[in-house]
Amino acid sequence: MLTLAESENIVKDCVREATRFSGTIRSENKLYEIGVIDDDSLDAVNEEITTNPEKGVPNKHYEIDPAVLPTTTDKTVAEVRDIVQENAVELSKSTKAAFVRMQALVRAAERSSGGKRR
Amino acid sequence: MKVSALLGALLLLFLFSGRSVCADKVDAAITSVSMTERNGRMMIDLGLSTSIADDDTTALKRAQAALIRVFDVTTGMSLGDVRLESASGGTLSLTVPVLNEGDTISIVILKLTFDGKEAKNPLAITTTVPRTGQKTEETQSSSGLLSPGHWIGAKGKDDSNVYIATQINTAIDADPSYGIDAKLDVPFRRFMTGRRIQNTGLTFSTQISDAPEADPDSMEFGAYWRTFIWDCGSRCGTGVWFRRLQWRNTLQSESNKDFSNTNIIWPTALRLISKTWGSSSEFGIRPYIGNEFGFNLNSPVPELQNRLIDRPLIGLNALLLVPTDIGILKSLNWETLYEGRWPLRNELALQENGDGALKFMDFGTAPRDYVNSSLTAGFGTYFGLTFSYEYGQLPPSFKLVDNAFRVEITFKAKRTGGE
Repeated sequence: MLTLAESENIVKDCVREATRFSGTIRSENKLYEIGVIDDDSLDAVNEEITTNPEKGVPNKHYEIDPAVLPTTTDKTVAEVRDIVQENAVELSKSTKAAFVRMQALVRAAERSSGGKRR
Repeated sequence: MKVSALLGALLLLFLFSGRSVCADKVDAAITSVSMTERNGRMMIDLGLSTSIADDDTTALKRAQAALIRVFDVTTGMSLGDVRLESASGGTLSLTVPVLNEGDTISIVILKLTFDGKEAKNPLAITTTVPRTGQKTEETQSSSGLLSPGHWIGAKGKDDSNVYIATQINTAIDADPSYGIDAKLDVPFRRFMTGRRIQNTGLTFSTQISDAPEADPDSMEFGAYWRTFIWDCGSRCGTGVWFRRLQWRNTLQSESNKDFSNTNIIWPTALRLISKTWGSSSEFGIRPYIGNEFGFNLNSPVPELQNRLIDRPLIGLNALLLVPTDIGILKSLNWETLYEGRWPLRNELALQENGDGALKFMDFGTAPRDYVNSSLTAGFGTYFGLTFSYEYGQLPPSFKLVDNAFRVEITFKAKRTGGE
């Protein structure tokens, strides 16, 4: 089970990743106060939480059903954190192994493309 | 013993809740709790509604200065060995000796400050130790999660599931008149395809008025689907404006208010989603390019019935949001929409006579522009007052809205998804 601290960091990181919000993000902030200004940016935050291999729940080897994530920007960070913590489910061993291999491949590809650019 | 533990918890609550209420206190509560056995101890993870501090070191110091008590209500014991393990943002972790499955415990936290301010009420929660493999269930808390699937206020028309605006219109060469701008959105359950979330649902919208010079005369009903098809991921720095590309599709009917001109249309558009600029005031833009393809079902001109329709379009949506909390004024939103359509096949542009009869104004492939700019002051949760300006032509009748200024009383609501 994800800890609440891990869940809160996931939510904050994913909001920053989706919106590039530059201010401080606190637990009591509603999503519309921290850059999630419409349904499009809310969709982006939800997708980051669900699929981002570095900042979302997959980074902790968990998965979450997107249907449980917020449908409104009136939710607070604390409420989204609790939703994530409550609903994130640990990946099975085989999925986890495949995910770790995929992460390694992505990092290797990024390293090689970075090297070529340099 | 059990009774004495409960009485102890109640006494602590009574003593601290009876203190005079200082104006400089914050609303804070324990919103969630989870328990897991770790290294021979029971770890209790607490989620708070408010951040203790912005950085982890200060949060931990504040948590260490707080008075934390855990009562095992089932055995009637006050647990002496309570260790604070960590605190960050709005979370706090404790460990206590291993508890029996099914035991009820009560956690009380006193003197915990949030950015130097005390909580209005003592933080307390009562919960049951879960059986192995089960999730912790809170039985009583000073606050809790929002109940699933209920109505709340929305930010604007685009963000609402239900939106109703009644208008008083004034336009050049026209008497004041009344109109309605309404929208109903019924989203379906979201699902994943690959690594993309798919959003689908039904939508209905109408913009009609009894003012001949200020009546878009447009009603749309259909099913929509939207998803992201590209994102720049972590490769993009903060300087990159556009971070995602969204693909929107709708299959809808568009008609005028008496259904004398009806089209079946497939609007499709690629929208760029910008980052959000600003922190106290937030600004974002959504430029898009697309096409509307379909056919006419019935038309006031028999020669145009059943003809194909094809209109490339470009658009821009800009949104400025200023969250405020001045009395009942909760927000200020400025939203502007521009759409330009270039019909590839001949289409009508109609105009209403003073007696309500339609007459031709134009016939052909001339570009049709539409602009709508609005400033909304949000009062309370659901209601707002909107001042808007509108110019241009909307399908299917492309009646010219001639510089209409509107004052609208709006009702905006959104249904939470049962999370």
